[in-house]
Amino acid sequence: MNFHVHSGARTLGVIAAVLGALAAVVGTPARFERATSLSATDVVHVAGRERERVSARELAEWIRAGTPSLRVLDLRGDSAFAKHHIPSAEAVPLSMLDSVARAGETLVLYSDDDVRDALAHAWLQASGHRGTYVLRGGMSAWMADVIDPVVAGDSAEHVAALSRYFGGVPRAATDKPADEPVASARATRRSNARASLTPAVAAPDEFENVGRRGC
Amino acid sequence: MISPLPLSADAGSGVASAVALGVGIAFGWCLERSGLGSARKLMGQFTLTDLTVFKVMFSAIVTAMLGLFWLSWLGVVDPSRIYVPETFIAPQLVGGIVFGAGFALAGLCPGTSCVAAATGRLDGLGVVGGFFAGVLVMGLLLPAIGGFYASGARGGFTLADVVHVPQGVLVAIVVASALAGFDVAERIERRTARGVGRIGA
Repeated sequence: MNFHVHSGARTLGVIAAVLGALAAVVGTPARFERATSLSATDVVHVAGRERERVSARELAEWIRAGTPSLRVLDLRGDSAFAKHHIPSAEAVPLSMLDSVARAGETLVLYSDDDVRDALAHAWLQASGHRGTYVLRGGMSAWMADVIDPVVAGDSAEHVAALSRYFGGVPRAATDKPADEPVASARATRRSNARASLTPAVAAPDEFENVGRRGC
Repeated sequence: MISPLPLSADAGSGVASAVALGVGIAFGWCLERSGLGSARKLMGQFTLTDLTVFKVMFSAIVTAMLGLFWLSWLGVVDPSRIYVPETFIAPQLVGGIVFGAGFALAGLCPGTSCVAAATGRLDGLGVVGGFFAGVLVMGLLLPAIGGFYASGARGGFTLADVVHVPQGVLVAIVVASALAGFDVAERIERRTARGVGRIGA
């Protein structure tokens, strides 16, 4: 091939030709073979799978039962995580999700953003991670259904006990609006319960402390 | 594995912005040094008198392709973490026609217009204003044309996914095509230069 170009460009051309020819010999690097691509269609498809969503109370049961290989990943960012988070949860940036997740684990993802949850879930699925769940309703559902639940019916006692285990303040559905001093006292108890969640997140023995404080 | 860098807002927007700024300045500098801040030079692409745009862009493609391939092979880059844009055939075809028409009319594309504007060229400033106006109009029209805008989603896929050949073979084909293309481009430039010379004489 006759290149009418100066010698620097000719040298670069020769280098490119050599690297290109060697690439043909190498074929496909292993990392390309497991390359992951994700489309909006994938995200919508995964987001619609109700069986891969878990309620706040189901998650609370899993944590309390010490489910093996369970990891709870908080996708909301460091500042929101520092304010309060689900016991045993780890703060994980979306960009680091793939490197944090390990095969064989049961992952539960949560944030307060359905789109973020769906993206993270779809990405993990596309990367080959199975056993991944999204917390339905995110952190708001945890606060409403586990920390500040309104209990009624046959399951009232069970839900109340679960809430107290995590430092929550269950309320009976028949409670009338409380007068000012009682409401103030309740708010203080809830505030204390929330505050107690932050330090009580790392180890199972600390869960026991949360449960005892709640009772 | 060190790349791609985890430069999302989660990783610290300050670092991400600093890296993006550095890459942007380097990109602009390379475009300017290649002469692509001049609309006259870019218009040479359409009149076949100056194929610098073709050569610069194809050089960038080959460099990035070889770099990505070999750095992946060495374990420095994880290609699974690189975003592959989605394909929407009809909307992107229309977008390509609009882009091409604007490019031919203005003599500048978005990147080169920023370079032209930064170097004080009035036509560059005009094109930058034009594409911001285009973005605004598109945003206003989106509720009306949103259905077409999102139609025909085909997902994210690469050339290797389509032609079903090993990545390395594809890299070799693209490199060979580029080198052959550079040779053809040089010949076309010389021929058109001779033609212009004869007309001038």
